[in-house]
Formats: sequence, structure tokens, C-alpha cells
Amino acid sequence: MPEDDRDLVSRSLDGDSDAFAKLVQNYQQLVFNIIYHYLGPSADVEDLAQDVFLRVYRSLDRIDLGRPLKQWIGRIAANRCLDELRRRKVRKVHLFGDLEMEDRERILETYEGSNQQRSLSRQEAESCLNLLHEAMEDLSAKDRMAFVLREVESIEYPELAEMLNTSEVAARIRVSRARKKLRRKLEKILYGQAEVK
Amino acid sequence: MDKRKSSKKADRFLNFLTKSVPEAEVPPFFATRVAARVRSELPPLTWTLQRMAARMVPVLTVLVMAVTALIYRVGPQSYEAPFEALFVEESGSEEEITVDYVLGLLLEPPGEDVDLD
Repeated sequence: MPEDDRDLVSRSLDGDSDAFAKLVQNYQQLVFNIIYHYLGPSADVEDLAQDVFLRVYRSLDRIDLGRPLKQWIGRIAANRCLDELRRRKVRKVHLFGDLEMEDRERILETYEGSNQQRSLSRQEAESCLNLLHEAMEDLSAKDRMAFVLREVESIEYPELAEMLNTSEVAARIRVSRARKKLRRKLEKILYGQAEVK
Repeated sequence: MDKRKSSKKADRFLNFLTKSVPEAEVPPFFATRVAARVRSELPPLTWTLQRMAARMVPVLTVLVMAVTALIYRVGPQSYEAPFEALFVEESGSEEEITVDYVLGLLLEPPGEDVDLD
């Protein structure tokens, strides 16, 4: 763990809430991204992120100071997302909004024109996320998490394995399996055989 | 279309999607709000006790060591003292007969021990 993080952890344990605020600031983008990209735009990202950091605070005294804090926080965020997904499935909450045909067309047009190095608008980027979510819906919860952490958050395999509490080989297998399934699904979308829900 | 080609195109499209998703927007003062929540939140009793116990470990260790050292240094003297007292009392009850003692008796003027009655 970097010296700064170690210092922030020990000061937070001594009740210094400013130190904990600094720690949250250092890792808030990572936590927000994991939740947002894994659960989608419909998720209450802020509430879930707050819950993640409260869990981090409560487990600070059990933290292994010899290991990076990023993996520890990433693991808590990943577990919280998996719990949330399980809860939604039990309650049969529809996970992701149906993607409008217009959205699909817009994404495909954007994709075709992406060689022009044009930066995407927020709306176009959100449509990409929606489409990705639609494609990921058939993946198992853990394969989806492995894929999001590796391909969207660009987390290296050793860190990813720690976050998923698994071996590096198992993490690689999960990502590869997810990619294969997603590729097949996107082929259908690209060639007009999309499964319209 | 050739299956390999379509698979490659799908792969490129997947890469495009993963690189195009937007970053999550973190609301302003999120960290401050979380810190305030942590401050206001009463920690569970067991957690507090655990932390207190963990902090007490070094103090208790030093205390036990100090007490042990004190017992070791002070203990033997205090145990000797009562026996010493007994020994002195017992030896005091019997007169020790030495050469000086006998000579002293002999040199004492006679009649000193004579009963006046």
C-alpha cells in the first residue's frame, strides 16, 4: 500500500474524518465507474457508492496494510454490485431499459463514422453503454464483472483476480468467455438479426 | 459474409463500445458527505470494544511485564523478613554462651545478684 494511503487509513482509524474524505476522493471515480458500468444508468449509483465507502470504513481495522488499497476497495465495490444484481433478479426488476431501434441505429452510425476520430456526445456514449448492457444481460454475474473490470475499467489481470477473489487464470477464463458470448450477440445486432426484447 | 470476417467486425464493434462508454459523474462534495455520514454514524458496540481491546494490548503487556519485574525484585525481601524476625526472636530467648560471656560473669563483683530480701 502506498505511504499516503497507509497514512490516510491510520488517521481514519483514529477518527479523523478529513483523512477519510481524502481517501474517498482518491477512489470515488473507480467506485462510481464500476457501479455505473456494471449495473447501468438505471442504478442509483450515488447511494450504492456511499454504501461501498461505509463498508470500507467499517472494515478499515481489518485491512491488510501490505496490500494495495485499490484492490480492497474494488473488491468491496464488486461484491456490492453482485449483491445488488442478485437482489434485483430476485425481485424480478427489469435490469436494463429496452434499447430503442433509433438508439441502435444511432450507435451503428456512430460506429461506422468512428474512423473520423470524432468524439462522441454524452448521449451517444450513453447509448453505447445501453447497448453494451443489453448484450451483457445473458452473461453470468461474475463473467460480466470480470469483463467490465478488465475491458471497460482497464484493470490488469493480477489486480482483477484480487478484486474477484479468484486466481489470475480463472479471471482470464471469465473475460475470454464473456468476450466470446458478447461477440456472438453483437454479430446478430450488426447483421440485423438482433433479438428485439 | 464470411464468418471470420463478421466475427472480426463484431470484435472491433465490441472494442468500440467498451472504449466509448461514458465515465460516471461523481456529484460534487460526495466525499465530504460520506465523511460527514461516517462522523455521525455511531460505530457498533462490538466494533468499539474490539478497537479498544486492540489498543489496550501493548499497554497491558507493559503493565504485566512491569508487575512481574516488581514481584521478582521486591518479593524475595518481603518473604525473608518474617522468617528473619522469627529467627531473631528465637535466638534472643536463649542466651548465647561465649568465652566473653563467661569471663564477664566471673569478673562481676559478688553480691550484685544477692537478693536483698
